Amino acid sequence: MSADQKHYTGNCAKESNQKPGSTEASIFMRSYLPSAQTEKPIDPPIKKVEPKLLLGEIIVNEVNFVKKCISSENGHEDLWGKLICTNFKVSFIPQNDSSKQSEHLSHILLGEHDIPLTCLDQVVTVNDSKGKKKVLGSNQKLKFNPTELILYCKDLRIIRFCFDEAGPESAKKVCLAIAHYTHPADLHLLFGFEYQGRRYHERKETEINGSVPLVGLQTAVFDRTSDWDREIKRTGASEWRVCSINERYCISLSLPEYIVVPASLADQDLRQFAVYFSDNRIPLWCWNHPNGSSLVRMSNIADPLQQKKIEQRILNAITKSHPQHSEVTRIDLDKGLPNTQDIQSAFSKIRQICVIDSFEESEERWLLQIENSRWLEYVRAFLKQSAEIVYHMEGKIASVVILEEEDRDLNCVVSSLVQLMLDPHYRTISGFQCLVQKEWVMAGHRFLDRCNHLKKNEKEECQLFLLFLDCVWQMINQYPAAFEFTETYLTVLSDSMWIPLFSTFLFNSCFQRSQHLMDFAKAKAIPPTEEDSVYFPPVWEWSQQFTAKEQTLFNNPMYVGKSAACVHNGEVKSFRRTKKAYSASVKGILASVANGLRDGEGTLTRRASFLSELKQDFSTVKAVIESPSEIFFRDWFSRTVDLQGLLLPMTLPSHIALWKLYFLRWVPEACITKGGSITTYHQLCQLVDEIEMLQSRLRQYKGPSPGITQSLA
Amino acid sequence: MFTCARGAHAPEGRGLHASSGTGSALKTEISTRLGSSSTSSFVSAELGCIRPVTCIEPGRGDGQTDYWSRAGAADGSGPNRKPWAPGTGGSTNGDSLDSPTGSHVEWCKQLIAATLSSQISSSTSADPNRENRQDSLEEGLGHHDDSDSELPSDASASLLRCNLPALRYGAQIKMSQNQVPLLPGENVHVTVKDVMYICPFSGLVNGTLTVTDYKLYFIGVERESPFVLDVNLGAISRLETISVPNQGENNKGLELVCKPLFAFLYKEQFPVDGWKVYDATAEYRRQGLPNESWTISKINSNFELCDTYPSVLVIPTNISDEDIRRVGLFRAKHRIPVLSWIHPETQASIVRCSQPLVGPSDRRCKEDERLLQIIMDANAQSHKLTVFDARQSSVADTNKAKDGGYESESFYTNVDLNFLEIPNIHVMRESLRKVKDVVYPTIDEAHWHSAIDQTHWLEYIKLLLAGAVKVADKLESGKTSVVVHCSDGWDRTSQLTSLAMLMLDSYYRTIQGFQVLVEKEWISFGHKFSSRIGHGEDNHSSSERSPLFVQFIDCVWQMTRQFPAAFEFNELFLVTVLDHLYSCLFGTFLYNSEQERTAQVCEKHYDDTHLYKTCFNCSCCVQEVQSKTISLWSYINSQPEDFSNPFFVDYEHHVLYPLVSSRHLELWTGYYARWNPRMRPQVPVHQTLKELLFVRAELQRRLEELQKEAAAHSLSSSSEHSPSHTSGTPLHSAV
Repeated sequence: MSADQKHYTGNCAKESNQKPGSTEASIFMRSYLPSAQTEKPIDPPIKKVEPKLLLGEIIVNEVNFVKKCISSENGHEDLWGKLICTNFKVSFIPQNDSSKQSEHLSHILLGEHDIPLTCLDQVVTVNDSKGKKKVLGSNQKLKFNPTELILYCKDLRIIRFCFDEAGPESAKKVCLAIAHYTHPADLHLLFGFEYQGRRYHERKETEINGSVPLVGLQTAVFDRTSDWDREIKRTGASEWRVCSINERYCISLSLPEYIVVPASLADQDLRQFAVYFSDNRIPLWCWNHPNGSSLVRMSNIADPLQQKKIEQRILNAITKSHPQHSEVTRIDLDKGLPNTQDIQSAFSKIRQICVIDSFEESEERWLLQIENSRWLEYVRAFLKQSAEIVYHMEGKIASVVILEEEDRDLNCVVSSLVQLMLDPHYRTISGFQCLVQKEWVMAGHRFLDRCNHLKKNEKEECQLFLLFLDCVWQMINQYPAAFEFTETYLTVLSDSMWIPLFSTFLFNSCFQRSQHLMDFAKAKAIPPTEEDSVYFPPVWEWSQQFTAKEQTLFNNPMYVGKSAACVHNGEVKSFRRTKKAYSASVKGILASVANGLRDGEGTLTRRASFLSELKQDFSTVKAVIESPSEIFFRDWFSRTVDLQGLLLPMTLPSHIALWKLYFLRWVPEACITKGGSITTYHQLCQLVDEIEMLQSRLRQYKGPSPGITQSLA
Repeated sequence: MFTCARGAHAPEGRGLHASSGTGSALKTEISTRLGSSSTSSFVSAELGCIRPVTCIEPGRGDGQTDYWSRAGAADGSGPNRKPWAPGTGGSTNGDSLDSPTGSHVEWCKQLIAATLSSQISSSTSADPNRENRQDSLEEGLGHHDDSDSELPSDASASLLRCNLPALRYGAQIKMSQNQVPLLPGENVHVTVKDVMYICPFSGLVNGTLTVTDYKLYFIGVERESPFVLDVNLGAISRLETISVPNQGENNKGLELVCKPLFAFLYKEQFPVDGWKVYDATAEYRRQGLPNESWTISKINSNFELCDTYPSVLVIPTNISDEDIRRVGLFRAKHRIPVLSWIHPETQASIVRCSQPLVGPSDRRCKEDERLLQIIMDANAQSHKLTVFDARQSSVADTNKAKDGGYESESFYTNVDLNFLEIPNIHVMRESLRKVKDVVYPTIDEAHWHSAIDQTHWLEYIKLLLAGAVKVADKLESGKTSVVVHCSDGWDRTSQLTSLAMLMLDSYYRTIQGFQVLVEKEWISFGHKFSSRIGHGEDNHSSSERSPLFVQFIDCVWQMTRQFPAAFEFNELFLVTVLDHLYSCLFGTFLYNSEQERTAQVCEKHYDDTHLYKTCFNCSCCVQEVQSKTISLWSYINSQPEDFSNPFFVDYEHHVLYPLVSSRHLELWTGYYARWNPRMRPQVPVHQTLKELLFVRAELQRRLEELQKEAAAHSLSSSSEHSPSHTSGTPLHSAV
């Protein structure tokens, strides 16, 4: 509806971090945007105090003369305006938006002061004078007039509204409405169903009128055999086949309809095995190493009597699918890795430290508290476990089966991390999206429960996906040129979990998804022939949320794609063109790093032994006995990293850092004025654009032939 | 050449890592590991563990003795030092010999990784294998020589190549007969063959050990990419023998090896003279001085007013020399309040000094009070003067009882007194010692963060940065002049003033400017580098030692982390500065004060034994430090590209306030733990950027060439010559 609105400013609260003496416009690290890039012409502020509503969005309740407290210390940054609760979001509209437009990543669907209801974690009302405080649930009564509303958000924002000047009754009504609407009774009441239905029809109309046809999605979602076939072909898993015994979910409700199984197992066998696994989950093929070893995920076999036998038959089949018929390594992830409750409790603690505790207080014991939260420890544990599996597949050329009780949580993290380390395809944006689709969405990670979208059961809630993103971030942090996407992309992806408009994070399983979408299509009169990604798109359709320009921020300017080598010994040998602004597909930059060194060596130091439990004993000088995996890791780290090959994370505690963009972006005190890593990102982007410009000008001189390549080689 | 590469330069160490070939990967780790000690600031030794083979004959033993004592002499052990082998060979408990602190010994022991099972080679070996090895090595070195002053372009560079960037200017590498690369002026003292070096992280390496008057050089026998260990003696603060279980009878004592002042022997030639970097008068002129309120005074030109101050001082115009001298008597070590930096717009200034000698009886000094008043008046913007006393207020009180003290607000009108509560040098020393325990040799994986926390190192970094931010903010926002002092005004004061200036003045954030800053606030104002670092001293545990300068550089590093584009120099620059703080290769950080430095050293006293205690009164001395040694800045400024930050954008008038928050302060593992092979650094982003910059330059060059071509062509054919959009159709389909 709001195509004319140029500025849905970003979903970052605008903060002012007045460092002593700083008067100039501040650049915040939490900003998704590099500073200088944001200097776009600013439209005159829109005076009307009206919310921007999406299709199907209705105002439930509103209250005027509300103060939004921006900074806890000084009140002069506070904003006055109207607080609105709709069936989609909590929106605050500043009365006199005199402050300049916020310079953060603009979101098409959400304004700077908007919070989707699904993003709310806790709604707390306070009455200062009475000293009362109440966490509001659904359909609850409020016995006092709130003077303050505090919204704790799942993306770690904390937002405070004051009702000092507002009508007490309407303030109360809005609070109750917010609380009520954050607790939808049923999944189909989530706003996404309303919105996407209307959107579908609106778009259909424009399509009939001859404009933009609805295009399918680029990212494979693995809901059809062809996606799996392609993946089998890509990884060369010739001894594996796509199996459709779970069509219409007649075997397992948590598995996708199409799965990949050893070629040696017939459908009949699989049916027979299925009953022994938790939720009839037949073991799933994930990925094949070029050397033939495979990664398989499996749930526990409940029946102890049958366990050995069934497992053996499965393992035999996997062995048969291995070109060397080597023995299968079986790794039980429930042993040695934290469980979902541990992870959630770690998340709560680190969140407490980062955003809830007072800044000064947490400063005092920062390192201790970080350690006590155990979040980084868990991140490290997952990375280490995944690296260990990489060793088995890469170093020992053995297929690996990862086991987890339900195969729906830890296995998702580990299998995707292993693939990220082994397969550069997954380090591209589209590849990464495939990976999430394959190992999380299709494999039946219970996003609905883990995200607790319906606020039904807090015990099931677990920010496991965020843990995964954090692990990925650690890898990006360690190998900044190895990934096509940026940490901004990861952050935006994590934020999208809390916007209920996309199918990706809304369901517990494919079955649930198809059920709901079928009902939905029926209810909204959408023809059954329509692809569900068209009428209820996954999050991967980024154009729903961000303009093409904003999306360029997902691209890592340092990323080096597959084709190789350009700068060597002062010569530009070949130089592939960059695809888009800010996305340097500057090929082969890294080859040049080896400049002046012997072949196969580089200056990128890779020389840590990876020995996890190595104890150095200096009193008795003796050769250290290393395990084969330690030797493997040490060996790998002693070589130059091929960013398009195997990538192992460094896993000493000193290598694992706090993901500041994610955890500290809302903390004004933690934002570095005029500084932060964003400045380097910005410079890299500029540089890459400049290079691209130069290239294109060169091309104009040289003509269409790959002239530059030739002439400079 | 090698030497400083390993012992002193982190980056070269890393280069070695990368280039030493897969086969030797592990061993190189070892070498860098061992070299590491040199970087670990005040306790910087980890050589030792001499393990004579059991079959050693007495004569041999003597030989060994001879060797070590010679080495000792070369290193500057004077007659007053304990000779190494005879004294210690028989003693049974090393710790008792001169064990300063148990923890130090422990630290060293842990560090000590070299076991040298040795025989003295009386002549060159006849072993054919060895000869072969030497040949192969020679080839490598020859190659090295050839490509000396240009970037290596051959991909099959030998191991040695990687050290090139370190000192490539005109260095003529001589080879001793044992194929040890020598610096100009360096001499071999002894060579020991069949030495075994045992690395705690891997196995044994056999090789040859050579000791020169500058370094200790070990090269493995392996032909392909031989393992090289190279430690400069300046970095060694002690040698220790420890027993090996199966040869327990050799539990030897500890022995310090004194630091040789090789700087005086080092004859490398650089195209740039680093001694010219800092000219006090020029620097004050840059700041707009002298002006009507401030004058550049020669009152201390002979160091008569204050022997630890520079000869050039900036003091207020309207105060008499007589009054200044009186003030001198009232300030500790005569370190009077002098201007160090002035704000270009507000005229607010940073003034540094030592504590006033108030004493328990609240002595007053009219001249001192007047001086501060004049300083305040020199800045019309403010009617206040802020005194920042870096110390903890309780300590300041203790000092007062001991005849020191602080400015009383009741005597000094309009003065605000602030204590910055920064602990003293001993606390800092202890803290850094703990840091080393945390990062080396093993780290406690489960308690990494709490272990760092318990060192309190980051806490002190935070205090310092916070103090400096207060100083800078007082000037910038408060437009008020500040006086900074601690007790003597040469430790914490230097830290605070230099950090504040780094925040306030973008000039100091350039490579050149930073050198000026260090020369000015640290070297000329008498930070006691010699005592704090322990150059040429034997007293390993001296309470005078403290890593204050390291701490300052750490703070700078923290700032560069927060403002990646604001500094012209890079991390390598900072690490290099610290490496040469200990290396003794350059004269920059030698001595305690400008007076000592410019003092004339007579030839008689000029030997490599006891230099740092020069004779000031000897009339026959003619040489100065500056002419006898080479400045670190000569080296750095000869290859600035290695030390520059590709992200640098000159924010000329930006005042940068680092965020003083535990959330952003990090342990500088890239420095403190860089020798721990398991804690290697992450892939630097700036590397990629450098490559991109190179690509851009290359493309620009090509484009220009083509443009010229096109221009020439269009002239001749007089056709359209617009470079961009007018050129035919096929060009656009190029993509």
